Amino acid sequence: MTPAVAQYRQAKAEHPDAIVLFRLGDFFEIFGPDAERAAPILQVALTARDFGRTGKLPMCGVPHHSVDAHLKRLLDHGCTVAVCDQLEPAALARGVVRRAVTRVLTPGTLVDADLLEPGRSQRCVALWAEDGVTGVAALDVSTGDCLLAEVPGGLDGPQLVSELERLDAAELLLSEEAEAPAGLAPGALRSRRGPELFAAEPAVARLRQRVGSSELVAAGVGGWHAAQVAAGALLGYCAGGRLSLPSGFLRVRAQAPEETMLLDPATRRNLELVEASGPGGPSLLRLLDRTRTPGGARRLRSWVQGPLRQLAAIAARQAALAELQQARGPRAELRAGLAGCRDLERLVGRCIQRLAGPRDLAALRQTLVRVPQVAEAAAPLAAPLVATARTTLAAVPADLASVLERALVEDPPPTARDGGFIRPGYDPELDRIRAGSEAARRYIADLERVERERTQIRSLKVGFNRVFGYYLEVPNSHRQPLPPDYVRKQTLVGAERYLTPQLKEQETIVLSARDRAAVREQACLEQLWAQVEDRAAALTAAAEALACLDALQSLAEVADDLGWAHPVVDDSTRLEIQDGRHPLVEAALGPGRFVPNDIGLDGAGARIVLLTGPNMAGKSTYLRQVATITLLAHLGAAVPARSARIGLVDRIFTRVGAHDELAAGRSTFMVEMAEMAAILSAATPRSLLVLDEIGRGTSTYDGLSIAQAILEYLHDHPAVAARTVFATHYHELTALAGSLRALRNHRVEVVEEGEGPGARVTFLHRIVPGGADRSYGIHVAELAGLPRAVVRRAQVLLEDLEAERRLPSDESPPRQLALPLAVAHPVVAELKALELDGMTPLAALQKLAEWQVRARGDEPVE
Amino acid sequence: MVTPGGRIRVLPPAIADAIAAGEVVERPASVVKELVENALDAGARQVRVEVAEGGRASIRVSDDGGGMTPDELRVAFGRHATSKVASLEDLSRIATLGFRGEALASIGAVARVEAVSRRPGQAAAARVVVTAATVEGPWPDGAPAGTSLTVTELFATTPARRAFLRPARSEALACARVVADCALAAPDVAVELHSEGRRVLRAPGSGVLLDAVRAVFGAGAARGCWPVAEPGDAFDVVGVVGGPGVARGDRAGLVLFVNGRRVQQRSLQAAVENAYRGLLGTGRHPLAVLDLRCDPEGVDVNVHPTKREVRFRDERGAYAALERACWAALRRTGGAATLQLGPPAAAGASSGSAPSGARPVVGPRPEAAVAARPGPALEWPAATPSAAGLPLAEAAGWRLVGQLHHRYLVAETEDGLALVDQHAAHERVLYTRLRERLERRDTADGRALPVSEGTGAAQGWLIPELVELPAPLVAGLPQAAGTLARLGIVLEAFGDTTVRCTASPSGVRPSDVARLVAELVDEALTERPDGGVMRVHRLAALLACHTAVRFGDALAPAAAERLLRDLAATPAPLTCPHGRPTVIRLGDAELRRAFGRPAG
Repeated sequence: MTPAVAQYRQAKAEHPDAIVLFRLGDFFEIFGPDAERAAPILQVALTARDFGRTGKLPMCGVPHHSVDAHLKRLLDHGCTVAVCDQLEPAALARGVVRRAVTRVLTPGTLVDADLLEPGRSQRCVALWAEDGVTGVAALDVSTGDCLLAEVPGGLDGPQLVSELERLDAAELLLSEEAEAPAGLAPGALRSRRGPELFAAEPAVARLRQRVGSSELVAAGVGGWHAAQVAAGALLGYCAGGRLSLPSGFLRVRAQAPEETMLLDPATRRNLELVEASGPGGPSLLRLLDRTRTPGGARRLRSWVQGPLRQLAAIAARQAALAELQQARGPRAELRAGLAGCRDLERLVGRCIQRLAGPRDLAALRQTLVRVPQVAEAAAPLAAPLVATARTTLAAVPADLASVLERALVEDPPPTARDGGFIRPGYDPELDRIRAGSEAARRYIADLERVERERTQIRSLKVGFNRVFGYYLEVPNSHRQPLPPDYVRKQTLVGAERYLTPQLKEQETIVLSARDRAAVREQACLEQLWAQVEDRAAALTAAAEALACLDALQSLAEVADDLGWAHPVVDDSTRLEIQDGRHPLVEAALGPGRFVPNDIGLDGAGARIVLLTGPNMAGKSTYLRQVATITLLAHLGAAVPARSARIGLVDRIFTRVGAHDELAAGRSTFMVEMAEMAAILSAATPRSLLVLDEIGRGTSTYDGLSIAQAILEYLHDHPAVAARTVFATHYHELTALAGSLRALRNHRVEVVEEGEGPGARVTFLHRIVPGGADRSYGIHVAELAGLPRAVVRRAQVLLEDLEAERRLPSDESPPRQLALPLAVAHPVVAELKALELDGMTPLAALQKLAEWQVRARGDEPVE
Repeated sequence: MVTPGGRIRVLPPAIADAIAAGEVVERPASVVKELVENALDAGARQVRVEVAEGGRASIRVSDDGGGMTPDELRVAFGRHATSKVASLEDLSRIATLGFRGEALASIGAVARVEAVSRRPGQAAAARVVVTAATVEGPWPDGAPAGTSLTVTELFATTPARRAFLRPARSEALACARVVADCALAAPDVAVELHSEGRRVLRAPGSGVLLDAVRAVFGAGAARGCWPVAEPGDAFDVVGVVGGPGVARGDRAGLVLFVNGRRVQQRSLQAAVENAYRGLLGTGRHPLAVLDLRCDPEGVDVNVHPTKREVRFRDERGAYAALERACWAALRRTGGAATLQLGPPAAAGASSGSAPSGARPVVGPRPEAAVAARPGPALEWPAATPSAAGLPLAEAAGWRLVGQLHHRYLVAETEDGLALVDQHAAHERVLYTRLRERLERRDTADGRALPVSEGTGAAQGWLIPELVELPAPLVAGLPQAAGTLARLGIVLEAFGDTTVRCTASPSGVRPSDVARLVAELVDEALTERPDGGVMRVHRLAALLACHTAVRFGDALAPAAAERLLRDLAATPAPLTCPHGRPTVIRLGDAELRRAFGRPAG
């Protein structure tokens, strides 16, 4: 076994779960099963080398200068990476070059700006379930923000899934004994550690040591045991990864589940909250994002992912946004000021982790200089949210900016390695080194002239080469005697080269000054880090204030730009929107093309909208816009409508669009039914249900029956008396309006000219009261391009089916498929009206026979 | 080609329409103007304009106004069909922008138009397609309330016209100007322009003219504007004027309306520029958006086919009203720069603010701490007291405190502090005097008039200075001699390309003489399109700049005080001839705020 292989084995033993990158020459190599895993991710060729007696060893490699890009790719795929680098330059090594693991990177514990997305957090989330509650501790190492929550249910609870989506979990920390379902944060890396990390008492003690008990109580987590254990485990994990989290930097805050709206992953996808569904357009977040700083983008993202549920919080944001929307001058100033601010939060984090370079500190300086400007821009605004942020910004001590200004040059180099970033006059020691070096350099520069005078040798020269350094060269043709301090070093053909002790001394000063200066500058850098850390609390508070202002101005800017109006949000159960539009569809269509629509649910009388009509006429868009507008209202933001009045909603459920999970072995219908089951069990009277085409994936009668049953259940059961918009292609269901009093029929308006297959059908995209009387499925098929012969035949078959099914005493409008509904059979009515007293047994028997005939005649022909 | 022996024939309607249309529809911008004006007349609150290839490929204007019924759509494209006038009397009382009933007909005659319109409350919209003045439809359609018109194939049937269209970029620019004018004319309507798929303009329609100005001219320009509201007997003037700081190099910032209708009238433009005389440097034009309002019976808009000029009953009254309104606004605000120190106090902030509320005035980065702003930056109408501009005559009562760095004079004002740029102030004083001298009729022989002491007395040269000049200038010297003599410069030709200067105003350094003489002679001889009005200004400005005290010149207290008094006595004392401020004032309130003291 070669020494290098031994080094590799050692690194791998220390980090068995990680992909080890091993520096060999100009490359980082990956061996064995790691290589097989990494090669497709990095898209490099997988080769092999002979390995002792055991055959071939797979390997792949990446060049060392571009390793960061590859690291990012590995981390994005949820891998842990250990970088085993050379500790000394190869040229100076004796024997095998010393190597050791210098960096251990996991997706949830990154601080490196190159490896992080500016617009989103990548949190490490620890989970600990006990006593029917799961404690969640979510830490963003780059900013020190630690969120604690307690979610009812175990690790397989549905609420946990929503929470983790909202938290942008990049890594899950779990006990080895815990069983976490696969569907929990599927994109995140699972890190399992032994149960000793999660042992309750040591974990809580670890947390209390870092964050005092009083602070925990102040944050509201004093009684949350499970969450505290999770947090303690997280801190232990970070300590193992050599991550520093000093007290001023680590901020604990509580997230009560009642504070934000519950949105399951399907809803987040359907409403395109943070990810667009297709390559077509932006997501809602992208549409709303006009932030100027990465911190603001992250803040906006967390707002969008967690809509508010408390009226007071919504009102506070509304007040700020309404004011900002009108105050165009201050808003423009605010945007200008924020544009110069950098990612203050993460810059402070890098200083604390002792990773910040000179350019990071320059960015910090630039931001601190801008802070007063931002505060001033916000000065004319009265809303409490803005005023609080401004007060925080005004409280930022100005001295750090002065220190950084004095310490750093205008335009620092990218790395600290070679120095050159500390200004003269900041550090006396550094100045001394530089002055000494400068003096020595001047001495050498002057030497030629001085020595020529001293020795009177006109042809004396001062030279430099790599072997001897500086020397005095005297041609052989000289006559004068040489000074005694000349020591001969080298003889050339026509000259001799000499050194003097003083020359050597000065030379040493010059050559070593560079290194000594670099060392001293590094010390200054560390001093600056310490100064930043001392002010960490004020700086991170200021960063949060900046982020808050940035997110507010972004929402106000969008609302002003697109002409959105502020809704009234109250604690009623209304859902009234006038001239509502779907923001993403409207943006895609272009200006002035989207047909707006209303909805009017007043909670008491009308609670369920049954929407019928052809496909492709805007039903799905209408559904999604109702949900999206409700969600935006709960952000405190303006909505794309002329006006709106929305009662508080605690959860939004959507069941829109079909997607097979064939890979998981479930059909469309199965998925749909599973989702409906979840919805029906979780909905509350304050929820909003948006359901599209329930019962689609199965046979007509099954689907129709299920749909009707669900509607009745939603209507009748007080536990799920939620506001509902139910779109369906079963126009037969419109008859339910007779028996379900809180149900209102609406349809998508269609204009038909002519009859039969040649009829011209125009979709008006308007939702109007009343039920549709047909499905227009065949017209849509025609539009889609089915051959005319197929369309004509289908039309004929439809007419036959409709004619056959018509009940003689059916009073519903013509052309409606008369399928058995919850309408009492006429026989039953007659039975109820029958007068038994005056009937003879024979008459009764005759009646029975007659009814039997009629009952049989009603049965559908297969 | 005319066929010989051709007879007079009545033109078929399509051709007649196309010819008539040529008057109204010159280029895509005309189409945009007509359609947007229709939208505004229809009561729209939102108007969106989309152009592709500058309008050569397509133009789409959509609004949320009253819309049209299917029948109205059908007849709207006929000639002389309009909802705006019904009788001849109406014509003399036109309150709408469009009225001839020609716009849609003209457009339909030279392009393909697709119109979709829905009245609010109707479920279905109606759609028609117009080609070569023939209307097809109406068919039902789904659309938002309001009207949208898409114009394509412009001038497809008249290739000669099409060939005359400018390149897409020029046409796009013309469309942008039209839309900007509409946005400024109707600040309560949200106006948007999309060009080549990108949004290039959005006025929010807040009702505040300043928001529209910000959208069209930018936030920096908006910051430098003041309101104008001058009611009068026959004419009211409403709008905004920009200070010298937002002056432009072209006339595009001078946007004038008559009763809300955009006009390009030389006389009115001159009225505005006149009000700015002396405040702007040469070649600079003001930013001003003004609406001249009067009784519709007092102005005839039916003069010009494109309605760009109008005729007033009282032409001089209109001119005077406009000039007076501008001048009053500029004077009222003083045009003075005020300095912002420290964070402005929030409304209702407690007076005992903590020291942390104040910022160091001179912080590590100068530009972060101090920003000179021309007047109130944010909300108006009430101008803050410091910007309301005490008339500078009171500067005569200021007490001179001293000279700062040999650059600025520091004076104690009634309640605060004033800083005077000694060069700019002296420039203004000299400039005013020189102008007076130049504009006065000179004595018969054109000799240099005796000049009073302290204004740059002409100084004879012991050893005349020789200056090299280009031959044409030397040849023209006799022409300029009189003017120059009035300025205190005596020149004589001394060879083909040399002149000898025997006297020049005091204060001119020997090293400057050559350049000064060259510039002055050049200016004196240059042909000016405005007939020499600017020449006087330029000469005076040139000489004033060269002879005024410079930065770095020490001033004896007596001289400094005299400068202050002279400045106080000068009309328009607040800027130097180049437009830079001469005086910066800090009132008591600002000083207290900066030091974190309670308001006095």
